[in-house]
Amino acid sequence: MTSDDEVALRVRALESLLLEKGLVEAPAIDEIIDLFENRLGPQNGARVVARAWSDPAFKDRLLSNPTDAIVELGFEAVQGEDMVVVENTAAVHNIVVCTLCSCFPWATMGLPPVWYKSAPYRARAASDPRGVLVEFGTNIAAEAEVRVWDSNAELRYMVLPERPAGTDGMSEDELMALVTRDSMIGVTRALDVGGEVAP
Amino acid sequence: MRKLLGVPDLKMPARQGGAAQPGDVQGPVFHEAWQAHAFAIVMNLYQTGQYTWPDWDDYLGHEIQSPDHFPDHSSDAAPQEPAPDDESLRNYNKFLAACEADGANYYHYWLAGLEKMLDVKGMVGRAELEARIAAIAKVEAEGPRFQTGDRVKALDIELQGHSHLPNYIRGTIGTIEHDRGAKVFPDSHAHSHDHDHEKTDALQHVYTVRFQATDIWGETADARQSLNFSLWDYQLEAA
Repeated sequence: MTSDDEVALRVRALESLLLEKGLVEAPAIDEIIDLFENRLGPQNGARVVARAWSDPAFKDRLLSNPTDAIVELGFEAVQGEDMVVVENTAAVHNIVVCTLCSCFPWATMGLPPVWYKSAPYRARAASDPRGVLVEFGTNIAAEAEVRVWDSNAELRYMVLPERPAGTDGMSEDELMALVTRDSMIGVTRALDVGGEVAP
Repeated sequence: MRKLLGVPDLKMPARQGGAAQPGDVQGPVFHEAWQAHAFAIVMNLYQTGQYTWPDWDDYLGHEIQSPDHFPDHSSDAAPQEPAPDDESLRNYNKFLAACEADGANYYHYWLAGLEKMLDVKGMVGRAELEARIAAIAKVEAEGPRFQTGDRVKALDIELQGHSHLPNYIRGTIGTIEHDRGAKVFPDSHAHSHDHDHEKTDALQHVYTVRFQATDIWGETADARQSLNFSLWDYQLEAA
């Protein structure tokens, strides 16, 4: 028996006890799994970013009152946490980490990628963010400031990436396609007009 | 119930096409079904107000910070990632591989935190969980005793506490119509008078058993009539 089989058995046992006690409900479990597998994800955050790039008034609201601005687009915080949106510019590059565990803005970005939850990323993003950025292929100008944001249970951070050059005529939907999950964590830039990861 | 979150169209059909989940370009959101269930249990308990989110974060954070989990299976669990050596990690691929190796343990930490929280909060005790694990493992290892079509006799036995075995079918022979799978016996503390049989396991198969009316009531009954009962494994023997 592999370890996964044993762990799967533990979870089934736990779930069966909780179902009997009425503490969880099978339809709710199914609904939650479907929500996170199919309906939450970085496409929601990409919509927020593309709107901010296209609509200066929305961008102002997004930076001054992020939680409410994101709710405008229909994405409400999962655990009631407040959102903070930090804007990347030529002068300041923001990168998000949860050094304690794995806090992540689920409503706009879904569940975090495996590497985000790992000890090496959590440790090195805090101690050597420029080194981490280089490993993700992202070159930050020497004179630019790098700001690391540590997420926690009450506050979740999302990076508003720089709008790529040469995208002036693009629609909001076209812009969405350039916004990646990693660019909203801040480890990469948004894709360039050719759809490539910009260095 | 707490609102889990608002998404524009909750009735939107699930995305088709499987492999490329939106949550993680490196693969599906959950790599194993158990991960999805462990995750959803925490969310559902939160939804119904069993704890606050910062409270859960404390349990999860504690597990992630001190990862000595599942000590019994440490030999076959994913190898623990050694402390990162900054110089050796100056390579993107190595770095990501190290991250993957550590991050793969994430849902193990998640489950460990959940088990601890349920124990501390008195929702599911350690012993209760281990007993259930053992019961499921046992019943799955043994498999069902009867198959559809098997002839079985309803035993004439009585359990203290629960018995849903009507008197008039005791001793009667019927046919297994359907195996309903292993179910939780409603009162696993009940004891059989028959100490030779361990028939009050927490988990046992439930079968639908069909009895012909003539077998129950005699030759004068309507031969076109059957009575169907859901019976526990312990109430039956092979005929």
